[in-house]
Amino acid sequence: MRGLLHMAGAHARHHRWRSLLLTFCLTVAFLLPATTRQLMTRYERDLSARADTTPLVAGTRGNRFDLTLGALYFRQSALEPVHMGLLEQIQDRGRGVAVPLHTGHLTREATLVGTSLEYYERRGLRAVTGSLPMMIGDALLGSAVAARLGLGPGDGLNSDPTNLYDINQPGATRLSVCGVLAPTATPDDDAVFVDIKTAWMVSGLVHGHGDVTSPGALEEDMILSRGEDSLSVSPALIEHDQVSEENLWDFHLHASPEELPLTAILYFPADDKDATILKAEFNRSAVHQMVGPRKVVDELLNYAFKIKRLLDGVALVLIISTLTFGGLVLSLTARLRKEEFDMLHAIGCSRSATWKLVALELAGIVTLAAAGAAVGLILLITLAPDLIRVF
Amino acid sequence: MTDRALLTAEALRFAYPEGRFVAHVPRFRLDRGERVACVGSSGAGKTTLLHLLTGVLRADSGRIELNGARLTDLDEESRRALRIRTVGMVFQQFALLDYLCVLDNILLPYLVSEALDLDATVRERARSLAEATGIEALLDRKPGQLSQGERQRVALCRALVTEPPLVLADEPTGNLDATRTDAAMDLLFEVCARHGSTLLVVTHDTRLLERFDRVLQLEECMQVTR
Repeated sequence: MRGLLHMAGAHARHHRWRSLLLTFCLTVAFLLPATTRQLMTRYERDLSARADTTPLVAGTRGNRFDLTLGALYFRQSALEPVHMGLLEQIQDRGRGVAVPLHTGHLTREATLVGTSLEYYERRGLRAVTGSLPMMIGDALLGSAVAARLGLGPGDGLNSDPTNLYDINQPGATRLSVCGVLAPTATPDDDAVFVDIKTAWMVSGLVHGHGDVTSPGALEEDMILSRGEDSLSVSPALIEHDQVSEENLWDFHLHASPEELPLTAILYFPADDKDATILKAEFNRSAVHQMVGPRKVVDELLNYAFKIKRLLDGVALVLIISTLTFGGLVLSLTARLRKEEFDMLHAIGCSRSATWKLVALELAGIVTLAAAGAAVGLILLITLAPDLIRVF
Repeated sequence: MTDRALLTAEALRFAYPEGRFVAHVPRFRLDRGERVACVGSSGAGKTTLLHLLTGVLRADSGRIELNGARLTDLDEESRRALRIRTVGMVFQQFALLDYLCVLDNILLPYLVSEALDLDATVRERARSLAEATGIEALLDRKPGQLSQGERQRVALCRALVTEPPLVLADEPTGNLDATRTDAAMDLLFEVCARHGSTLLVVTHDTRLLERFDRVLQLEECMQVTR
């Protein structure tokens, strides 16, 4: 067998371009279904795991996929925001835990997630360096963001301005990095977390400035109008763009707290009964909805599995056509090698040995192709993480 | 069969499946150490005779004994096993494998047969044959890099590497000019003599015949009906 193996290898090397072409075709035929299978397994695992740890999501009535993916994966959503008053209503029931989420802003291309401390507790997140955001203006970096930006506790970063060309819109806010989260291989790695009030500060709903009410604090031309208990000042008044110990108490709100916007509310019910009652109440509402992420994700996976079945079909056709092509090549090769085989039979080589010779060469090519597909898959997973990362 | 006889055949009949070529070999004999030529014109059935005598083609009837074994009683695999140990073949076009180096071409019977052990002794024998035929410097080359004469020597070494009692050569000088033909035949005779191998050469080149112990006319050995 060693002699035949040596001959098969020599033949494959001698016809290296033909061998390489066959190997390449088979590698692609193996790699495609292996990649889709791997992707689907990861999608299913990651989506399900994230959904399983988030029992309920409340938001404005509309596309349930938008709401779920926005709340679980911080995708920017076109849904109207819900208000803080809704969160308070849920909390007032005194049963489960309601966690606010605000995902409307970016910082250095990472989603800025405004939330409360319960979020970290419920997701099992911990700061690997520094601490959780305890103060307005603090930012807690996901591990991937920290690695990408090379930032750590004590560093600063700016929020992305909402609109560069409109001076009425709030500008960039300087955030202070208070800590970095441990890696979790979830979308939390790619986000920057702040307190919910910080998110509103970035929106311009909470702001801070120096004293404007004391007599003489402002020049008269900065005052636009005076009411009984209010004062309108010129937009030329420079607001604080960063929170510090000195100016912390200058920050205040110019709206009703109940009307402050939230992208969604995560709800961790006390028990199944609590979840069922709250869902029923929400689903009677014409304005709000509450969805179970697991159910939404299962629906989403059904769509994905349909696509996978299509890709599997394509892969099957590819494999069949490649095998047919390979068979054709081998059949032509056998015809071209007829004289060689006749000579081998004449000197006393058995027919089984000539079949083994061809089979060993084919097995070598298939083995190389399978190894190539395995290496390709590992490279895809290692070098192209975006391809296999869920959203 | 006496001790001197290496190959005997009696009353062989063979027909190709199409039935348009029927061969009859009434009697054929080769003694050990003999150098025999079989002469016939192109297309007269010389190759068919060689293939019949060595069991490459199975006779429809008759009897062949090769080196003490009743070839006609053996199944195909047993005939192959006997052939690879007993017969060395030199083909008209040399039939070297272009993807193997010269050394591997010489060792080919050992590469394709599990019945033969490829050990250091065999490798040394292959190198000795290459040295004796003047191709020891070419062992790493591929046949495509060799001249006709060099290729013929490789084919000869391959036929002899198993130290077979019988060497068959099918038009071994068919592609060579007169000078090279003489050199090739010198080599064939010398190497067979050194190994004590019986030599049967089928050829249509009458210039070579003086050198053989016996010369047979193909028509006398094998009657063909078309």
